[in-house]
Amino acid sequence: MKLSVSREVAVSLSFLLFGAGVFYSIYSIEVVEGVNAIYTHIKIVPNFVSAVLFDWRGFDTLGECLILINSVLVTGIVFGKGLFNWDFLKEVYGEEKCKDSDLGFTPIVKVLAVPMGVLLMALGILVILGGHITPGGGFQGGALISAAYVLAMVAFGVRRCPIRFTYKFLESLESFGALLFLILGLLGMVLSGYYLYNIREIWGIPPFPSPPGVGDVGIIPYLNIGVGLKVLAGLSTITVLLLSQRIISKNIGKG
Amino acid sequence: MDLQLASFITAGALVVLGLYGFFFVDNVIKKIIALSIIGNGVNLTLVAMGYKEGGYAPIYIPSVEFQVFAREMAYPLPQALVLTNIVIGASMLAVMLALSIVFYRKYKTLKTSVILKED
Amino acid sequence: MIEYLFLPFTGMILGFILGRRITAKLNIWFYLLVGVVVGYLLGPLPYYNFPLSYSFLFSLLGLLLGNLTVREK
Repeated sequence: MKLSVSREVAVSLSFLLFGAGVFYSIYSIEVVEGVNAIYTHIKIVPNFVSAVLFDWRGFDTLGECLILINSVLVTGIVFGKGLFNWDFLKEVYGEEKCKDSDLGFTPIVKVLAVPMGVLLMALGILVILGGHITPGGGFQGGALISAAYVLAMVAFGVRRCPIRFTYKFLESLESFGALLFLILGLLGMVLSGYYLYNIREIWGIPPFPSPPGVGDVGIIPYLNIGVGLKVLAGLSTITVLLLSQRIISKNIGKG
Repeated sequence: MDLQLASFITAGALVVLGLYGFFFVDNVIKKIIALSIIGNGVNLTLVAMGYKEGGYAPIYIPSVEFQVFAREMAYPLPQALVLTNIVIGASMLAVMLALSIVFYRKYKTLKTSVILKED
Repeated sequence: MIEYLFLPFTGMILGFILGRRITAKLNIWFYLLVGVVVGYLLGPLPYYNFPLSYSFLFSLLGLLLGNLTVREK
């Protein structure tokens, strides 16, 4: 008991000190232009955020993609046997007949879930592909498509979900996205000597033909597509694993 | 009070609120929520750093001359960093929730005081 | 012309890949009508001088085509 009280006092003191420090440092913050002077005065594509993400700082985005892959792996491993036992995954992704209780949603949800999902998927593709011109990009579009999947899954349950992303499909999408990113980086190394170099043209042909005025698009849309596929697969995998943890915990002792 | 300073103070309040929750709340799920509130505060700080009074969003409009646009534009780097940070926060959240499920399976409770057996 | 239609056709390929995973039976004329309306309201991407958003319409078309190939009779 005595130990507990002294620890409470220590935690309170450190909380007060740290909170005061945070408030003081944030209140007296001063913004300087810094490296933004370069980023704002050179136009690559109309969306400057996309230019920073995929042209100036491609390595950051690559590392972030690997973090997402890592988190999916860890989430899979943490749930007992993890992703290495193939038989038990079949039940999780609904490839086997299994009882499914009606979740009791109203017809409004059940009727609207599929059209909303289809339109959300098309909108997600548009957001991925327009990432270098309009606000958007791979992350946002991938999250939209993943939201369509989650919407259908919440309305209909895991078994009778009309959008059937299997484990194999999601895994191949994730691997394809990461490999596309890495191989496009290697392409830049072959053609110019720098990893993840934004190639303007290959033998006079631009890699992604665009109307005049857009600028040096280069390989940015392909990188957007890779990141979008990977984010879509990662978020969907995490959601399926978290939704069906009851099945997973039932199967823990077996296998 | 201008908008940037107000955003900074809100961000500081979010960070301190999250710290309070992380230190003093006795539930693992609530601690995770507090951590994600701290992350939101950090994101708000970064976005507010790139703010410019009456500036343009960092997407080029052809009707404006480029030099004027480049001077008046909000900084794009903090927004790119925040975009990265949001995805990393989401993956961290997933890992923490998965670990909390394992925690509950082992101890049949989520209260840290019960687990540490202090009372 | 290819520089204007490359992006919509890339969207069509992506939509085909995703549409092959939808098992529900989709009513094609309904979705095409909704696609034209939503594409008109969205407007085309900047620098693309189309009357409506062909990227959205072609992505939806790819989804429907992919759904046609897997639909059970």
